[in-house]
Amino acid sequence: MVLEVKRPRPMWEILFSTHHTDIGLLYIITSMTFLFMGGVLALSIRSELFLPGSHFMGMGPNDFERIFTTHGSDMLLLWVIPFAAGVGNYLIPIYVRYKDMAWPKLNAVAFWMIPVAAVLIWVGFSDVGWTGYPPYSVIRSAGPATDMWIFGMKILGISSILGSVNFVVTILRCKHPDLPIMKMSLFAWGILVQSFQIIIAMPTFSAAMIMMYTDRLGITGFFNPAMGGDPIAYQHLFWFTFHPEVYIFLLPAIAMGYELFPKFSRRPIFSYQSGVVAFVMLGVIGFASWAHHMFATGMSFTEKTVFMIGTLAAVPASSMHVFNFIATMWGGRIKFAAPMLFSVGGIMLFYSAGAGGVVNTAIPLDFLTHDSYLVVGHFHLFMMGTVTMIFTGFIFYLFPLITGRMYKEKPAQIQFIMAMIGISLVFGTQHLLGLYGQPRRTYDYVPLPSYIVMNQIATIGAWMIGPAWGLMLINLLYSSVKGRPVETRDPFGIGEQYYNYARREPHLA
Amino acid sequence: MTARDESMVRTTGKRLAQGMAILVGVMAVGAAIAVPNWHNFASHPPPVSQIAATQASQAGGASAPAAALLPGTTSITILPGANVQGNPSYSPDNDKVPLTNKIVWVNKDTTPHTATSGTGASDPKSGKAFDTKIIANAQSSPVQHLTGVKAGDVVPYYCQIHPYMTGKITVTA
Repeated sequence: MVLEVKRPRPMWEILFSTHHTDIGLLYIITSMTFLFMGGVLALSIRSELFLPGSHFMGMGPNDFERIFTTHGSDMLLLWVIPFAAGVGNYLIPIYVRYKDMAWPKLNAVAFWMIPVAAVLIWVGFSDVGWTGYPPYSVIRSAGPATDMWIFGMKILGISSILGSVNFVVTILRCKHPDLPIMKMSLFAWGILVQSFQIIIAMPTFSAAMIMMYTDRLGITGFFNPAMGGDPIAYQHLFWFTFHPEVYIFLLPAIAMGYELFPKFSRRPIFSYQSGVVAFVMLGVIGFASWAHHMFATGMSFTEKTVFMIGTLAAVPASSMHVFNFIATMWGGRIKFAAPMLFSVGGIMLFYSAGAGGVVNTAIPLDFLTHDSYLVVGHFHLFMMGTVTMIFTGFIFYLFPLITGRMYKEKPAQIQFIMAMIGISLVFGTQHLLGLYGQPRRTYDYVPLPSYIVMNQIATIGAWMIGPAWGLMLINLLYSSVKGRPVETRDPFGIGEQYYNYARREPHLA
Repeated sequence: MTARDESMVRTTGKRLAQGMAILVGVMAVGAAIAVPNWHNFASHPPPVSQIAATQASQAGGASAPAAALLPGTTSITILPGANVQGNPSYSPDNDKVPLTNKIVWVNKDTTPHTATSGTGASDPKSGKAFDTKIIANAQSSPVQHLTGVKAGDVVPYYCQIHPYMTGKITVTA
């Protein structure tokens, strides 16, 4: 697979390029930078919680709120989505056999909006929480940090929509006529469904951001109770975007799984059709469950029941993907290189996270665990345990194809082991902390022995995750210069080509 | 290895150093702006809160910024971090207040609170002796007069928003 059309070029030529591999590379490097920056904030959060009271850099309640807000906004919208967009940029034109994205300049615009938004979010350090719930965000949260956060989120929303429109048009309109849609790579299917979800979901949040800003200015009172507004309306608008967004985060990881599992199992995917059906089902059902985040806001029993069923309806589709992966591996000659290790680990943790989600959507339990650390543990098990693990596997998978050099396998394996132990310690323990009643978003907690011990276990887990990804950074930096040059047709020595990349690169032939 | 594969090794030390310099440079500039201005970036309340405060003061309003106390007024502080269960909440938490004195609660926490007489929401006497209503953070309550109590009484009070925050007042002659 050839992922760059020319020999090494000057840096400025890549920075101002509109070619899909260059934009893809910029997306990937930028998003990985924000992964590490957000990770530093995560470590500072967990270090503060090692003991009750304020211990870390004189952190007070408001400092803590500002740090976890930026951590959440960064990880979700500056790491996960841009990384998926980067990989999509790299591979989609190749997989649909087109010379570039449909609108290359629009593609570049979508990327260059991200650094602008990132500066607004990172320099401001707002304290609204990544959800930005009113009335606090409207009547109290101090500016200009929160105004910067609103504009940053708004710009990221526009960037996502522009990128998604480009993906949809590239896949549906620019696909090679000899490539039927039901023969298209499942990775392309995942990106297609994800892009449709973004186009449908994101405008609602963008509108909510404008409404919140005009509310803060005192011009309107959509969410301000003192002006007759309804803060709960914001929650509906927010979660209408951000529950589908959970699948927007997840689908690219699943799509990458469809690249990795067949290749490293040396078997074709067990059921292509069920993969397509499961993607489409998740894309639709993702919009039927947003209000399960709001059971505690005084909804009627009927509403709660509808959204509980809507949430549970996502289980069969998710299970179809997992079954597909397991059935593909079954009987395969599996090569446990780092991409496969991280993918299998990610799917194991996906199962754990999904099991927690199924339990949590039950109305009575949801009331007990609402806004507790169980929620934090649950969604981090998804975002870190599943999405980031599979993304990390895909970074290792793409690395030799991008650089022409192989990473070091042993440090990658050590990273995997540290990651699995660390993730289980942090987020598994956070589930227990939630059941013990520790509220989320607090820099301090009641100094009970059980709380202290569990928080310390979670923090030790975080201290394992941080060095694990630090090891990856060193591994990638070192290997990109000193790594062993590899034959890019089969860098992992799999010996068989499940995907005939040469056939899918007519523009490079 | 085919002819196309010969150009595969695309990374060099120089190229990596250039990329890292760009990334680190941008982050350094960002940090140089963000760190010294850490508090400045979160120091201006939204305009709508100014409008609300103006309207409240024109209406003889509820909570007002902390001001110098008049003689015959007792001040009780709601401590920073009081919203976290287990933390000390009111200071002093058992103040001796002359019967004729007025009382003002100053909220130094980051979240809104109340000081409402009684032992909790289920107490039938809740709010009978005094009730500040909601005191926003960094604001003082309206002046409270003790109603229906006599010297020697111990009046418990609590926060309606965070019922685990409790205190009491001992009324003196």
